[in-house]
Formats: sequence, structure tokens, C-alpha cells
Amino acid sequence: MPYGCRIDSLLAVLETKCLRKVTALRTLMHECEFGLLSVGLKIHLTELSKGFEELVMLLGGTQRVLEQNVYRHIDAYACLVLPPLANAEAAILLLECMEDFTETRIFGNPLVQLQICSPGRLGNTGAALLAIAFYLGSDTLRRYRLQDLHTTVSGNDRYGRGKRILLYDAGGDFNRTMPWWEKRTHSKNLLSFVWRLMPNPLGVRVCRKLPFWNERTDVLGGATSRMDIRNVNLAATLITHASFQHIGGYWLEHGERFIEEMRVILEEHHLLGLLKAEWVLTDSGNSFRNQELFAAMLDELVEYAFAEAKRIHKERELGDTVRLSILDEVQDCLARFRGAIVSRVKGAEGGRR
Amino acid sequence: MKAHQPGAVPLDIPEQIPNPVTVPVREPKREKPAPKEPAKRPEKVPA
Repeated sequence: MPYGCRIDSLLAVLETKCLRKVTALRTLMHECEFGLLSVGLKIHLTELSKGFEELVMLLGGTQRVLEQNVYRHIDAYACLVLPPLANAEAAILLLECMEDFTETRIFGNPLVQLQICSPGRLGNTGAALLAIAFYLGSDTLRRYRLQDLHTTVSGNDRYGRGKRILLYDAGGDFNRTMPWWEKRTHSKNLLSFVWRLMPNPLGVRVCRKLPFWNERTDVLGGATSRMDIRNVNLAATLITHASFQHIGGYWLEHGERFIEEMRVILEEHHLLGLLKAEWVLTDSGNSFRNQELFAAMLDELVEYAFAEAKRIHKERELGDTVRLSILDEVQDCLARFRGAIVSRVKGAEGGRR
Repeated sequence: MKAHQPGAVPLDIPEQIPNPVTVPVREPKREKPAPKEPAKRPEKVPA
């Protein structure tokens, strides 16, 4: 899918109304944050508010910015595809700039839904774990119907993405020039010997390009919050680094532990069977049986989460001790892994000083 | 400009509730820039 605009054109328009934020964004958007993946965004709009209309016009008009893509949520008027940024905080700041410019609420607005894009196509188990971590780790529990996941390519013969929370890319634009953290290996060549002499307590090799040509896994989850963007970015990074072992992602061991812990959580709650459904579809398309199985599994997850939420409310209401729930465990898991990543990077930076 | 297809509705998931275990993260208020100090003029050197 082609981007709706270039990042420099977008920032040039936005800075006419929010200069300070855009200035901060210009610096932030190239920085790799703790070796986490870059973030792309698609904005599904049910209607064009006056502010969005003005933005689209200044970027070149609806035909150029919005209508070049056939892809959108089935109930959306259009889908604005934004160029990716190097980190989640920059993506959040870009959306805040757009909120300021358009005077339209973007976070948590059912009229403006976000699709969070991460590089790399995860396999089915990785995709399932990403979707489950997003769902249970979110600040909102959503009771999905399959219709909520219906896009213009759901039944498309060519792409066949079905109705899913997770979607693969369909080829098209992909900016590979994004930072990627690789574990520094100790081969015996001269360059490696020179590298070893340089101070690098983290043992990281920062690559300028992603190890993917144009593959992505996107989360389409409904009205989205800042927390959702951060969680998806963290979980996608961990799962991606663990899933593509041959490319030597820096957070490989953390990713493997994250996957293991998520599996243990699911097993303890008798939900491990959820991983059997097809959470993401390849170009081979979607059979009726797969769709039904996925719908049943999604329903099981949603019902379980809502039942846990209800129990927690009741226990709080009655003044009982609130027992741990799967919601606590997933939140805790995400927070611990974020903490581990941050402290490892900051610890290494501190040691270098 | 409204959605062009008839019957377009908000992309509304029928039931959404706050996740009871989420600790709401307070977004740090972006501070206003400190007022600029007036430019200092060099004192005149007495003749």
C-alpha cells in the first residue's frame, strides 16, 4: 500500500499549527528506542472532519492522499496511510500533532480507528500471542464481532486476509531504512576484531536497515490508545526477535522468555488451545471452517476476559481480596519485559559513563 | 465531508469496558516554554 504522504510534507503542514511538537518530533522520529521496532500507522476514518479535510487538501487532495488505496475498514470512508517512524513515542507524538491540527480526537475515538504496523510477518503462533497480548494488555476490553474486523480485502480473492485482528501486508511501500538491533557476533575476521576493541557494553550492532524486504504484521483492534501502541510495539519486537532467529535480533532471549511466559499464562487459564486458530491469514485465503474456528476462539478469549473483569469488579465491590486474573498477569508480563529492556540498556549506558 | 457509502456507521465495537487492572498512565503535561528573558544589553562603559 502506498503511503498517503511523505513525512516531510506532513510535518511541514502540521508545524503551521503545532510548531513545538513538530520540532520535538523531527528529532525523536529517527531515534531507536531501546532497540524496539519501528511503528507504522494507518488511520481508518469514518468521516472527514473539517480539520482532517483541511489536512488532506494541504497534502495534495483526497485523490492523491486517500483514494489511491482500496484498503480500508469496510465501514470507513477512507484509510490514511502514514509513513513509519523509528519508535512508538514518535508515532504517538505524530498522532498528537494531528489531533492538534485537525482538532479531532484520535486516541480512543470510535470514528477514528488505528492500525498499528510492525515490520516482519509473524507466524501463526507469534501472531496469536501478539493479538492476545494486545487484547488483554489494553486499557480497554472490547467485545468484538467479526464484522468489526471486516476490511475491503477480507473477502478479496487476491489478498484474502479474512476478518482478523492481525493482518499481513499486501506488498507495496515499505521503508526499510529503519534501525534494527542485532547481537554483535564474534567472528574471526578483521572487522570483527576492530569492533571488539570499541566500547560497546550492550554488545549491540545497530543496523541502518530492517532485515525485512516489505513484510509487516498489523494490529487492527478498534479505537486505540497510547498504551495500545506501546504494548503492540513491545510485544511485536519481542516476538519478532525470537521468531526470526537466523537474523540475530538483539532481544532474542528476551523474546523467547516472553513467548514462554505468555504460553504459561494461557496454559494456567486453560486457554492454550486458542493458539490453534488461524489468527492471521496468508495469501492462500480463508476457508469458512477457519473463519468459524477463529470466531469461536476469539469469542472464548473475549468472554473469559469479560468474566474476569466482572469478577474483579464484584470482589472490589464486596471488599473481598481481589484474586489475580489473567488481565493482571498479562499486564505484569508486559511491564516486566519493558522494565528488563529499559534497565538493560540504561544499565549499559550508566556503565559506560 | 461524510462517508460516501450509504448507511456508514461509526466503527463501533458494541461493548467496551475499561480494563480493571490497568493503571491509567498520566500523560505528562507538556510544559509551556519558559518566558524568554529579555536580551541583555551590554552596560555602557562610562566615557
